[in-house]
Amino acid sequence: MDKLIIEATDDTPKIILDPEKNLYEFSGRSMPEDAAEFYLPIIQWLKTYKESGFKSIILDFRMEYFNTASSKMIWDILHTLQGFIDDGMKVNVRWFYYKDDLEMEDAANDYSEMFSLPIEKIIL
Amino acid sequence: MVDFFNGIEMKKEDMSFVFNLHRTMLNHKFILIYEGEFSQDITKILALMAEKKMGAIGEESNIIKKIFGITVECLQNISKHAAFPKEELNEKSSIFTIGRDNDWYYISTGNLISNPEVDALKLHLEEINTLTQDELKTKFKETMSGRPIDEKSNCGLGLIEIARKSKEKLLFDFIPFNEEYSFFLFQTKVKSN
Repeated sequence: MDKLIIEATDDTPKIILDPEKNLYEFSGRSMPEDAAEFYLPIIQWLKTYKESGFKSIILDFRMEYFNTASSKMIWDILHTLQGFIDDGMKVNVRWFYYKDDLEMEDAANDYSEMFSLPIEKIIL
Repeated sequence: MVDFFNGIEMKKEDMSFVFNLHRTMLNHKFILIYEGEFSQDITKILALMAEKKMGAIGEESNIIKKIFGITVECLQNISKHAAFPKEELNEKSSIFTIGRDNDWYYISTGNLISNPEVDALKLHLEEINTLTQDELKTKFKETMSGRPIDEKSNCGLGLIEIARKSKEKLLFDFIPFNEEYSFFLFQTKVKSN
């Protein structure tokens, strides 16, 4: 399974999806106008990962900011992972944010209320 | 000769205009004013400028993040809806400002929208203004989980998010422009700590 690494830009986050290192992480700022264009290949990668027989994933979010177009796509990613759990995969989401970052804390709470998949909040 | 003096005169007017504009900006405590074409590149630049200028005046990070987020949603709403041919940009340009008055930051936008879109946008804004913070949260989650993904309908999410960040009622108005368009005025405010 090929890894997927996307370097951060002014308006898109850094993406690391690396089975060899067992590291799956999104970090930085996400404010593309067309968020679907950026995130759909990532969702496709996750689906291929599952179809390749991987039985577990720990996905780390280390986001500083995302626009509503991105929040919709993050919802889609979590929805996809929720589907993996229902198919018997072990999925953990860790949501890192700084102690005083109310926006990222609220976002974690919003998502936690929408999915049964575990979203662990980790304060930096 | 006449042309020459006209030229000088014009320059003088231009310069006093800059001075007057500068005074007006200071008096009204404008932090940022942008008029012109809106695009993703402009959105990035203006959001970063807003962040930088508020950081420079020592504003608290959570307030800066709010203004940054509102700026991005406002500008992306405009750039999605105000795409005009280049030759029409001058008369159809949009405006974005951030100002400060006492304890409040005011974020204001003005842009043309096509007349058939006015009613739906007005209803959406009126609905948002009737909702409490808890109801806005529910509405945001419902809209986020809605399908199918439609780029244009995503602006609904943007306005809900602006209302959640601001915690104040949204102000808006529609001024008839011509048979095709209306000028949409929008303002939201954020309390400084």
